[in-house]
Amino acid sequence: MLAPLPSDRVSSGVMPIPPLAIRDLTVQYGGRTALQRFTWNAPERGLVAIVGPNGAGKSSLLKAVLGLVPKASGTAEIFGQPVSEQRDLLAYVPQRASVDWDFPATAADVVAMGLYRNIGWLKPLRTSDRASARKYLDMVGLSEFADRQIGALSGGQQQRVFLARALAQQAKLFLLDEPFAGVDAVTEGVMTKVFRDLRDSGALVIAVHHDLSSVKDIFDHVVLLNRELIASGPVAAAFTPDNIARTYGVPLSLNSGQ
Amino acid sequence: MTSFLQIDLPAMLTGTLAALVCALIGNFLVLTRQSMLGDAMGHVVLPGIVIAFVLAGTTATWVMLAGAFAAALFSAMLVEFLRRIAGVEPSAALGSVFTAMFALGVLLLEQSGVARTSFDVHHILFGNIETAIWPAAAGLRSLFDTAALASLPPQLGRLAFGLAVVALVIVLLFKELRVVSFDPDFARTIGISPRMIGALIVALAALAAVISLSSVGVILLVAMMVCPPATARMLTDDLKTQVLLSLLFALASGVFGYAIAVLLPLAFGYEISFGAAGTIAVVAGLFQLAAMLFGPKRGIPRTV
Repeated sequence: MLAPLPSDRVSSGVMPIPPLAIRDLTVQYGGRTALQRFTWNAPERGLVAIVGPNGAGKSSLLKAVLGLVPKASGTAEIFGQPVSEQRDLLAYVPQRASVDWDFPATAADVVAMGLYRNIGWLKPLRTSDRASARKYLDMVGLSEFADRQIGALSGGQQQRVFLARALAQQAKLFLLDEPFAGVDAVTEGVMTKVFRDLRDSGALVIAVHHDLSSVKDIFDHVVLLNRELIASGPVAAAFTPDNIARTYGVPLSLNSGQ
Repeated sequence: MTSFLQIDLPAMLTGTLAALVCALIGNFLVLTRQSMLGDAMGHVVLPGIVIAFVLAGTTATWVMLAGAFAAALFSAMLVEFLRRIAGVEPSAALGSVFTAMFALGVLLLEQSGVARTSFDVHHILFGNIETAIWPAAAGLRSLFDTAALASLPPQLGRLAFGLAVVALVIVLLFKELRVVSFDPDFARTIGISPRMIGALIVALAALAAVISLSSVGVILLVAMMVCPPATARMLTDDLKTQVLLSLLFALASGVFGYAIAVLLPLAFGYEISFGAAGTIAVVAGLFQLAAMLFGPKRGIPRTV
């Protein structure tokens, strides 16, 4: 608990290229600074939570890394290359509320979107693609909902459809925006298990997370953010009451009984 | 028979083809919540067409298309400028640009004198399907006579060509259109540019507007673009089925709308028929009303 601010370096013999390296990233919306000179090297693998208060720039961070919002300054590299060169290695799960679930599509249709890049431009879905979309739905426990219109699914099921779509991309780096927001216990269990399987297969999962009480249970790394980097590192070392208080601006007790 | 071939068939085909091409691209306007963009396109292309005509002195298809596209592009840029740089609210930007452009078009039309020769404001507003005639038709064998077919009204060829282009693009880019319409941020992360696909949708809407304008008129254009897809949307949750159903409703609106325009006044003893563009739009609206009332999935019975 009293360890100094840790570095994110994973102690392995060679220094591999980090899956995500962000340097001096600043994001501005019409003069308002959402993120200020953010520098961070992601660990090689594992589950990383990005936490911070509302308006701390968590979503902006993901979006700027992905090129969805312009960077005022700074760089973000995925395995040592610009994002535009590494699209095959990353999967993005936007906030559930960012799309219109009334759209005429089934769960399988949405999951198949994760295969589009692999299929290529101008080509239709093949029968094998439909089969593999079902396989990924099965991995999140939704095989019997494949042909259900997405608006007829519960919030947790919708979130799992998004997760299945990301799995279909067979990425090495997963960026998720609030995947646990408003989901049921079953979904939380499924997602936690899928995350652990991804970690065990060597992937890095980075999720914006809002529920401080579950950070320790689900994640092994944490990034504390409030417009600028407050602290980062393994949960045990960086997710301290001190750092949390500095991030949220008020002391918060986390039943840690310190 | 001959009078059917000379007068009714070409007019019905014109109205139906216009309804089909508008409905096809209309699916993606409705899905991306840009229904009024079709309306805007119909309005903004007018000054483009008139200027192109004045400059080139001909109503050749490619001249009209070039003028219309230039106007559509200019307007799209103007809307973006008002939104981003001047900070005008998006629908206000669209509303002010398209009405101003249309007013400019009408002004040019009146002042340049072309209104009395090649264009009629009334036709541009309300459409004029009835001038699509095929005088060379002399019976059923004309349908197989290349010389007679060559004298089919030119807008039929334009509409058929435009329908083929829009259909081809939608078939080829179906999954790209689907993912951009549903989740543009995700599309961008897999390397499919929402801006590029969005521009393509606008371009196809402009194409549909230009080739349909002289037949259905600017006011009814938006009915053609929005009603059939909105009707189809109430009957299915599958995008492909929705697109196909919208074509079916467009076809039915074209055929029944024209038939009503011709037959209904006759039934009441009037010599003059209705404007077919109007009845086609009314029929399209009635289909939508029926789907709203009786649709199995999304109709009123399901929601109340």
